[in-house]
Amino acid sequence: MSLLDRYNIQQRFNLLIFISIILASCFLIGFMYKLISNYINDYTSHYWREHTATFADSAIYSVILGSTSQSESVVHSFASDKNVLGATILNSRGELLASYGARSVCELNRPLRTEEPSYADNRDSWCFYSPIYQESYLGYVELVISKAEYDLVMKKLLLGSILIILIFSLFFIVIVRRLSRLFTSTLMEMAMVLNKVSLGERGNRVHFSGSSEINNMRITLNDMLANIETTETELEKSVEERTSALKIALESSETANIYKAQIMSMVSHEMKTPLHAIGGYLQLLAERLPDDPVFTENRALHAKALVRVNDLNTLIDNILLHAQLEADRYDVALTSIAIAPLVHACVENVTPLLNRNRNQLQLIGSDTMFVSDGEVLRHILNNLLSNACKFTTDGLITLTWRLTQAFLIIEVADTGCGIPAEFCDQIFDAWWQVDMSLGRRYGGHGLGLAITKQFVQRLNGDISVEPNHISGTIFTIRIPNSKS
Amino acid sequence: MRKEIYNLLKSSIIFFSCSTFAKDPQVVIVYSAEALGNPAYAQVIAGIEHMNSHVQRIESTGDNNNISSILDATHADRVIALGKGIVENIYRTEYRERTLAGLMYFNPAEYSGVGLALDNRVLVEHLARLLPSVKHFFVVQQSHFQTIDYVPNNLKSSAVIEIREGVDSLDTIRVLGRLLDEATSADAIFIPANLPKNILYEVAKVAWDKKIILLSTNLSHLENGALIAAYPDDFALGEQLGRLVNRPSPVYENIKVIKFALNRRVAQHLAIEFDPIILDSFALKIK
Repeated sequence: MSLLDRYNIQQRFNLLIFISIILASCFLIGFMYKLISNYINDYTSHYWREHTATFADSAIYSVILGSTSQSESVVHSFASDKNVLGATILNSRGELLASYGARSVCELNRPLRTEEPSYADNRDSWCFYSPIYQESYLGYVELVISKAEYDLVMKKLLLGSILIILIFSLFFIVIVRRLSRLFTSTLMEMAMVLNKVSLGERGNRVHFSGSSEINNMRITLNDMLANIETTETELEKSVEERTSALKIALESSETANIYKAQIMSMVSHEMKTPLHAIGGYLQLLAERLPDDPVFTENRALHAKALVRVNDLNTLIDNILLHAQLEADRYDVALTSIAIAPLVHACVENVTPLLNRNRNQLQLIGSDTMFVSDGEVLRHILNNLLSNACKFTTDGLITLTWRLTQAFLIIEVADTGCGIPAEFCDQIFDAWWQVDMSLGRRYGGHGLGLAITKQFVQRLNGDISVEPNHISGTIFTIRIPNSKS
Repeated sequence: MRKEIYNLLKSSIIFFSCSTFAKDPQVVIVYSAEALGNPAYAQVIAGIEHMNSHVQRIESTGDNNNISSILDATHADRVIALGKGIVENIYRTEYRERTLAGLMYFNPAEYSGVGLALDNRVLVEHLARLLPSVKHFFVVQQSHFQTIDYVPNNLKSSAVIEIREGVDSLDTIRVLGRLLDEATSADAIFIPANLPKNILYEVAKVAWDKKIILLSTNLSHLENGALIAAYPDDFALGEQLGRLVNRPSPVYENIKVIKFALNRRVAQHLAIEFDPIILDSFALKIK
């Protein structure tokens, strides 16, 4: 099959015809040779049978007389033929009257009954026998005929047949080649033009002509090619325009990124520095207020101001962290960590929030070692626990972790207000909250879950959310076990 | 007066009786209808009719069982049967004694009539005239198929005729072969009339090489190497038969009138030249 793939349709057609002609020629030569060989063999043997019968007739007189000299004369006259290897006359008792030339070749194949005409076919000769009758059986004659001339004729015939069939085959092949060119040139030209079109060359058209159908096909194909080229041109123009627009957009994006980086730099440096100063000064002012009930109100205001400063600081930290994750500039550092101490540290961190909404926390899991980035994992747990504490009041928060062969699976389930199912896909978007109104009940900026998701992805894990079967939600994190 | 009347009556009775006894016999020629294609039959019949004006022809169509009743119906006194088949059939009937055979070879012991065998005396007489240089004529024939009757006495010619016979055809061929070996160009050999053509070819070849004269009583041999063929004159044969009808007792005769045919090419090969008168006497000449 792969061999045939190397040839085009015209070559395949020619090859097929060529092989067919060769096979047909071989068959024809064989068949003709066999047929002619049989015919000539029959004809020759018939001719020599008749000749032997004539020999027998000629020998009658000499056999009747029992004359050796007469018999020899007859034998010599019949042996003078160049094809006759030997001639013999024998009487009815099998006694030799006259003989000439070879007899030994026929000794082995001598017929048992010489009263009837017969012949023996040897490799190089025939032995013909014919009885001599004149009212009664008088004897028989034997004629040994060479096959040399017969073989020569057959050889010439075979060579002649081969030559004729060869000439005929060549002539036929030439005709077939011309016909195949005629029949396949249309297809070949179409294939060539389509190939060029597929390579992107333009302006190629087919030029074949012939019957009305062929001409219609040429016109249709050329029209189709023209249409394709027009469409391509339009498409290229459109792509060019789009590409140009995209370039502009990319450039804008790069500019925006530069602005963003500048903003981030400004935020990190120009905003956080004064904020730390404000926080420090507020802390100093609060510490310097006299321990007098008159300043209780001032002390409370200072405390609120500090809380706001801390909130603002946290927001800026989150913005910076989110920007860092978005820009793919956050690297994880994998170390072996004990999960239970990490969980307890996080729980300790959210205890004030837990207590503020009078929630209970249930921890389910055993201590186990896991290779991961501890800081990232801490962020994830803090965020999820903070969210659970924030949206649950007088409820139960359950933190479950388990290590399987493939994953570390952490579940944070709460009995809080829950998330409507239609928003489950959106809660991980940055700056998105279920209640986006200004008068919303719960605070926050919609960055926590976005950052959590990005952290999980940093650890090659995934996060999902589903409603708790009582109320609230269940966040499930699956982080692949690097050991496996 | 009474005596005169008596004499007149006596004379009348004698006259009527004599006229009754002098009446020609009823002669019937019987031959096969198929044989009419052979011109020899027509000639023979013409010869018979030439000698007997009141003959009746009967063409036998092959139904030989009622040949006797046909002959009865014709009141045949004498029957001339032509051809072996017809002769054999009639010889099985009561007409056997009244039948003369013709146009077949036979010997006197078998049938009455005129046999096709040539009379050697007539033959030699003619040959001595035609071939005066030949002094020795050999006749080779099969003992049961004699085409030349040999009558040793009363030979007028000085030429010698010698008969050599074989018991069967093969023996006859052997006799002929031996004769060819010993014969010279001064001899002439009558080859058997029934000699097969293939043997005749070989015999003619030997004779041609040795320049021996071959003669035959079979006209067809003339084309195959015989110099002269002697054959019956069919009309004369008919006349012969016609004459025999009037003989009361069974009689056998051989052919008295012989025709001769010449192969001039053989004559040329043998360097035999004939006088124009002699040449004219040949009934048939081929080249």
